[in-house]
Amino acid sequence: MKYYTRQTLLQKIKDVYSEDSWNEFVEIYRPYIYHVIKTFGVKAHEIEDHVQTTLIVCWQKLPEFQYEPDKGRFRYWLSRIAKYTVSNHSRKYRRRAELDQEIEIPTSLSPEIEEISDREWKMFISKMAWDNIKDDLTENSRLSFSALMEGESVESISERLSMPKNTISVNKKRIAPKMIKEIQRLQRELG
Amino acid sequence: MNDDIESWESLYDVADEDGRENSLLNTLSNIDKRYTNAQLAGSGAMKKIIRTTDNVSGRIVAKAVLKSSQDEQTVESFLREARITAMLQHPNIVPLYDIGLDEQGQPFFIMKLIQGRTLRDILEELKNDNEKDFTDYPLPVRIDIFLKICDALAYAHSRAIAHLDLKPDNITVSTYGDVVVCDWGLAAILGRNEEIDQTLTESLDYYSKRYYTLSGEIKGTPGYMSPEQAKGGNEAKDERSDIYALGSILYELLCLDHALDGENVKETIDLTLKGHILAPSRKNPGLNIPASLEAICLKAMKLDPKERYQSVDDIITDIDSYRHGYMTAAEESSFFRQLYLLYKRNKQICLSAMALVFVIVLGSLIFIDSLKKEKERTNEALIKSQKLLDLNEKMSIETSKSYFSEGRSEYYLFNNSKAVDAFKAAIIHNPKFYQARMGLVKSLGVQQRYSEALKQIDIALTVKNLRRHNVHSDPIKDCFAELEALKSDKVLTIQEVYPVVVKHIETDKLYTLKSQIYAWAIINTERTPGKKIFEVQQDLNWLLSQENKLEIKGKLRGGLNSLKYDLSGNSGLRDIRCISYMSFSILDVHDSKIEEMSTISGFPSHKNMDSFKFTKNLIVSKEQHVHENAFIKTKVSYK
Repeated sequence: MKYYTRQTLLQKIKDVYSEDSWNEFVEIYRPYIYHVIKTFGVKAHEIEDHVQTTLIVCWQKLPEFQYEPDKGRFRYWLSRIAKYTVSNHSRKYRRRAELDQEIEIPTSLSPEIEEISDREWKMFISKMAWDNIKDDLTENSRLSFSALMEGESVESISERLSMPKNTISVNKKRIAPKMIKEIQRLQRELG
Repeated sequence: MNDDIESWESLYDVADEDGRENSLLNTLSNIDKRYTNAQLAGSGAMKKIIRTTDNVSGRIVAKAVLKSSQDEQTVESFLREARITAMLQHPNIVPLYDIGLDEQGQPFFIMKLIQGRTLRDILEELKNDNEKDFTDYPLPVRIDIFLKICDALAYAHSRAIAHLDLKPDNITVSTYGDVVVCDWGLAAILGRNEEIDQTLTESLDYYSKRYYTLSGEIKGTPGYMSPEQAKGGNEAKDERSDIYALGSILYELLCLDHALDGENVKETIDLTLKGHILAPSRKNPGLNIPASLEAICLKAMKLDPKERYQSVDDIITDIDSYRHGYMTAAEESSFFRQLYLLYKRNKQICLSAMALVFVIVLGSLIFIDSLKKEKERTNEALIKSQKLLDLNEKMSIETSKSYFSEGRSEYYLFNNSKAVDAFKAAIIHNPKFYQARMGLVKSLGVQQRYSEALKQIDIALTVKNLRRHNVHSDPIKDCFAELEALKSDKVLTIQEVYPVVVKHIETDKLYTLKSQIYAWAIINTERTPGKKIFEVQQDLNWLLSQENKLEIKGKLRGGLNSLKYDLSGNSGLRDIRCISYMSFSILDVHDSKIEEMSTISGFPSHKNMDSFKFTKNLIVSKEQHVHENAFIKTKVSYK
């Protein structure tokens, strides 16, 4: 069963094609594109360039993006463009007008790229969800939960933050549902 | 689930999984029993109403099932009710959601679960004087409820369906004011609506007819059923039977009591058949029941269907009329009743209009009164001011006269500048003062101010014309006009002036004017320095010669202020009037035969008219007679 995306934010950005929505678009998707491109094995100093080009291409091509669950999600589309941008790095798109005419976005994605896309998306959405909810938590809850997610053992955390183990697990039980809800929400909003 | 969460990615996976499980599509595809959580909500003669959860729509609904497994006819009748209800889609008719068979093959139908009370409950509580209910359900609210029932029935009748068991028990009023008509179990198809699927009509009707004829019972509820229903058997029943029921419901809504309340069912049916219905206002005199509504109610409950309202729409129209304050068809109309209704439905406007009319009338009265007073005051003031004006005029005329007399004195005294001022003052006070204007003309003319004089003479003549003296020309005017034509920037000499004056003015007339003109010309003519006295002497001699028609030789000596003129020995000298306005310190005329020396012939009309008033000494022969109006102040010596 396919998971349905309401794509509200995406739709909003698509519909309102303005400077403001560009900024919003960049703010939201830049980190994800950055991580995807990084995993392509691009030299560190070139990543920023590729990210920028990818964003511009995405922005140009956004009106063409049709949400069709069969063809793939938005994140695959972003990854396709990112991949294309990196493979064609010799070409410089100085003028935006050229972009429209010349770019043919590949319609399919190789399985390994799809895997990268999925993996980075998971991290991207989870981190964004965490950023959204962490400010409402007490410092100890925040530190203990994020440490747990980073893989630190309960014992170690208990010792380091002088927190009872019990409290750490209660915290986790309390925070996890919030995180799940937020992840689900972002998933709907960002595709 | 908690144990799976050990990294950021796992959080995402759990969320993703959870999202899928709880999706509606997932829920919908996993429903295995649609209606669950049954709870008995109520029961009737044949069916039970069960409150149940519809897992598909996720709401709580009402499920109607037969009480126990019944015979074919009952099942058919039950499903018939369901199909009829399904045909009726109206906000005031309970909506049917579903018809089906359960696991045991028993028929059921699903309706909207109406949260609320039946109209029966509400009426019972109203009857028991429940105060809260009275504030919740005042008459206008009860009429609203009634209209909604009417709407439902009007719609059903339009679909050719008659309810035939309408009563407060079958009407539910929800907490939010929704009114729905339920229980269409006895409904009949009127069989005249072409919109309805023919086969359905037939199948439904087949069973109903058979069912009713076979049972042969009376169907309906005594007290609400119509007389034709109460008779039973094959009596025709149609929408007018519903109208009867509506009438009895309205009856109850009005006076909170049954229209027909027999001790038992039989008695009630008897009462129905007799059609003896007490007017609601008499049934419960304590309530204020509008006559219009009472009339509607009684018309709907007529024994003979033909006398009732023929359609529910007519009832609705009449109630709307009542609500908007118009006459209802059921009412006898009178002019005052109509007027009263007009007032009632436009209370605010009527009151405002009446207040406005009152203010306007009052304002007009005050205004008229003040106008009257104002008029009186104005009249008084007019009379007063007329008096003042008259007085003023009189005073002006007097003042004018006095200025005129002053002007004349100055004129005779040869003070023409002063005379001009005085005459002008006289004219200002009385513009129609002809003599003053003529005086002004003369004074100006003497000073050779002919253009001014001519303007004044025109006005003077106009003034005269206004007095109907038909004068268009005047010798003085003609004379001055000719002199004006001669005038340059220099003073006209006596030689220039004299011929013109003589030409226009007769010899013996206006001597004062003439001699002043001559004297002024002689005195004011520009003289050659050193020869002044000689030139004046020549002028005087010339003038006298002209007047006496022979040469006169006189000798002038002395200064300008003490002229000594010796005319002695001029035996031909007879007339010296022309020089009467000259100033001489000595005038010697002895040995002459002067006859004319006075510029006035008769009795002087003014004290200053005397001639030669500026001559100080006169020398005459002993026998010479001096005229009584000349040389009055002069010292006369004789030789």
